[in-house]
Amino acid sequence: MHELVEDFVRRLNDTSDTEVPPTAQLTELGIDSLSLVDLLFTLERTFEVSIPDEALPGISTVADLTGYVVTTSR
Amino acid sequence: MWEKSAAALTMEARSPRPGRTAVLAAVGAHVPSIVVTNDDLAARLDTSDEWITSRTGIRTRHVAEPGRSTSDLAIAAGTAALRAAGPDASIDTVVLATSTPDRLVPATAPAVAAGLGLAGVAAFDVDAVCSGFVYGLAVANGLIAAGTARQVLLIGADTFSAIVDPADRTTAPLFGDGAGAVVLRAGEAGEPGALLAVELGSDGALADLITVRDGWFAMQGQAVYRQAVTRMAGAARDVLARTGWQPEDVDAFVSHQANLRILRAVGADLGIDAERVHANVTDVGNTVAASIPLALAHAHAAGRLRAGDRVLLSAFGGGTTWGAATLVWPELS
Repeated sequence: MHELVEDFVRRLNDTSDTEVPPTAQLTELGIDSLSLVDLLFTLERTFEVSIPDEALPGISTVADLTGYVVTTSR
Repeated sequence: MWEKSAAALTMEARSPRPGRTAVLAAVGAHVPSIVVTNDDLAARLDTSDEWITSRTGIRTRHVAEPGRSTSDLAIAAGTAALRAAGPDASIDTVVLATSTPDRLVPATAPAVAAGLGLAGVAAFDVDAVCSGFVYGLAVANGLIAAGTARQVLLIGADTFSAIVDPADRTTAPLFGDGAGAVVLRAGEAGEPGALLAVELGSDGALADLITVRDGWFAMQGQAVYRQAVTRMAGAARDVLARTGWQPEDVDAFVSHQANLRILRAVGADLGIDAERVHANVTDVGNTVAASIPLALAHAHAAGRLRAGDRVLLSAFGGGTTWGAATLVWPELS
């Protein structure tokens, strides 16, 4: 799943070598509010989970996001 | 007990009786002459052409000339549609989809009808914000199916320049003024241009996502983006299922032109590739209720909609409201 986020960030920033550490803030990676929705759609489709709007205030880093998906999909 | 948050009420168009289906007979469009470019906006707001284009895909939008209102644009588009329909057109009903009427009272449609030389016909407004045209299609189809109307002039027209704060860099670039119109006549369900299915829905629990607050338009961008993609894709899937089409059967997907990003996201969700997703939002911005008929008229004029094309429409707007419809594009002048 981290690879999917990494791939998303690299396509978003049009680079192939952007570092995507789990502790990075999503906003630091160029993910603005609308890009986050695109990423959520991708994660929801790929892992068949639902990430409701109510969960978003608790998600600020890459690890927050991937952790939420892992926990929900269990 | 009414569960407001779960009140996503979906209404389905009933199968019309033979000889009583709305059939598309003509299209017409009008955009005002004043063009505002991204550079024009960048000259007075903290924004740039690159910022607007990369996030919205919008490059220009049209703004109503001073003194012109929604009815003026609606009359111009209506005139174009009536001209395209030919001298035999005999309109008995005018439906105006708008959320920026000339006045709160009375409705704008009667003034539009009178302005078109149609005084005496039934005329009323429909307000479902950006979904207004699809709601209008369902209403027109119902009037024709019931035998109440024989020929409906359905116009989508809005002048959001009157309610969008010109100093708000988050909303000012998104909207443009315009009007689009279609003539719908009573016909057979099997003929080209017949409305095949319509799907409508709403969720008033999300009314605050798109609203007017303190006199200016206000929108919760992130939530709107998510809702718009989810609801338009859902309504499109439902209407495709009722029509008996698969996403790959669709030749032209003409969605509400909110911004390029939403159009592509809905297309991707449905599995409709970018070549089949029609977009004129780049040139006209989000024209609210005018958006779908304007896109249809522009695509038709450009030869991008051909007789026999299977056309899917979808919309999402304030309310929140959403809808989708299908038809086979007819031979039009």
